[in-house]
Amino acid sequence: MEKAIHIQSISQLGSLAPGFSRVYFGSETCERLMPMPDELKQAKSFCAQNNLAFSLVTPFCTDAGIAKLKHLLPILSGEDELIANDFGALRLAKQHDIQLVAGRLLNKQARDPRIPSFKHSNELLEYLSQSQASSPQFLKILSSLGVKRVELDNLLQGIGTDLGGTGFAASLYTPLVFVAATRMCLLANAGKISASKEVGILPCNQECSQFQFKLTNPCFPKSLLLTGNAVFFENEGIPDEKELLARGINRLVANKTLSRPEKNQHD
Amino acid sequence: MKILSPLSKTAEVKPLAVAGADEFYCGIVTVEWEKRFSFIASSNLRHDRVANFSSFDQLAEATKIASSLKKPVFCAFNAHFYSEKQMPLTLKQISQAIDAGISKVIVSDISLISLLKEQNIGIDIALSTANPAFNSESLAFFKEQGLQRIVLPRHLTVEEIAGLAPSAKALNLELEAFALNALCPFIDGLCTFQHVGKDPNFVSAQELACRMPFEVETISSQPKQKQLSAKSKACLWQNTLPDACGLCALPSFQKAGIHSLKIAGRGNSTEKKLADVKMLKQALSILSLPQKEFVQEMHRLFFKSFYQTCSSSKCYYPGEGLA
Repeated sequence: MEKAIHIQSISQLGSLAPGFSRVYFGSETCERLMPMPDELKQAKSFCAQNNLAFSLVTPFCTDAGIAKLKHLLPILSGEDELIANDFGALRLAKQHDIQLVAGRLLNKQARDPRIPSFKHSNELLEYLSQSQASSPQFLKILSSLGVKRVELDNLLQGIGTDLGGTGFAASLYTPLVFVAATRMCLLANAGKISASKEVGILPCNQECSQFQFKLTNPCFPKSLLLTGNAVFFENEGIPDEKELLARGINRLVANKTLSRPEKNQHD
Repeated sequence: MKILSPLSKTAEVKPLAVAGADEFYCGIVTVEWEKRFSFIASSNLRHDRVANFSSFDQLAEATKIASSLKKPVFCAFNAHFYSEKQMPLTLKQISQAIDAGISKVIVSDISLISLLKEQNIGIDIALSTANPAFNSESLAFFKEQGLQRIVLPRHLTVEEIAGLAPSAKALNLELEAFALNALCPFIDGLCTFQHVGKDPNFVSAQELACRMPFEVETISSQPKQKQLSAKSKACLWQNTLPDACGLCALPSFQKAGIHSLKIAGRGNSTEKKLADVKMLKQALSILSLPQKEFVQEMHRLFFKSFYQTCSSSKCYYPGEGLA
């Protein structure tokens, strides 16, 4: 089982915990956090020096994000991975000689932590445990884009996706399960009294590096974590490795620290 | 620009058409689907009975009336994804919906889109906002998948929409943009909170996770005052209603060549749907006003229709009309 760690800032490179053979670098949910080319080069160089495989993670993108991606793609090569969370990004990256991966935002799953408490038949539970990658048709489309790996969340109701014998591999993220993302980021200008009632797609000073929120409601069996423009919850339980390998899941991605410890200066 | 109205009852077709609706969209959750998968795994993104037709006979009756008025009806099969077990029933139901007279199917699941393309279903396919296309590369990707219309994500600015319009035109894709109601705090296609409530007949806005009250704990080393202010912002959507308006953007949409203006709210009452169509029709009738005057009129119209003043949490496109 390959072990990867997901970070979003080059400042996190210096304090990587041991035991990982791959670094995931970048944000899944905010194009404003995409690295500058120099930062990407720095992250890649660090990984090369430390014998770590490298994966660039990119978010869903507007045309502004796609323009940034165009500057990043030529820096990647050969065995480097692009974990794309946008079909447009995949279409663009297809022209480059790199390894393409469908990010977890592209691989739809029923992630709501309340699901195990719902009344459901076996047939419904089977659906809720699967992912879009359970569909051969989806894998066919990904194949046409040059994708050979998909990303998965560790659902509370269990993992029903089985890629055994499909030619695809999967990665499982732990412990933070993605629930939702927004572009009307509540963290934008958070902390400014004058902006406390303002919401929209607003310019920001990356206040996501200064604030996170833990949200609790009795309806939810787990607290939600509002970090940046996305909501997550923690699922610490990891299924048996043998069982995962049998399903084609051969990589675990540690993503405990999705918040950035300090402010990026660009953008 | 066409007015795309929600529809959930046969009896709504005629009055909505008379009020100004040019196109209709609806959903259907049959008894068979409900029995097997319940509204938790609805066949479209509305998880209650009130927002959906429940039989193809009802749908056929609605399309017959709409057709006599020369108004097309579109049907949503826009669950984020369908399992292998759901797919045969979904394909069968789309075929039944086509037989019932719909002229466009609104789909999110890329696997379903691909299967429909392979089957050459003979009607147009629109990409639901539940599979968000935020950029020109995505428009090209979805065009290659065989789509004719893109329902744009709610979370785009007017400038970004205008930026996408030339690509859409070059690809011969129709663009549909949100004009009224149901401003989701999260991106439709990237939100996996289940829209479930206590009663499968009707899920209220207050039952949705994005609007529920949460106890909020701030994790920050910032000064206390800043933390309090940030916390207040983090609670902004709690206990709010999804009323929202994007009418100030209409002149920009017209300039950009937006094809269709979507009114959200399949689960709303017929009275509310009628009021929304009339509101949008009135807005379109004064599009030639100078921009400043038009915006002032839209603010008045919003107050008259929603009984509240404009604010950013009620505004789809804040850059267009809010000071």
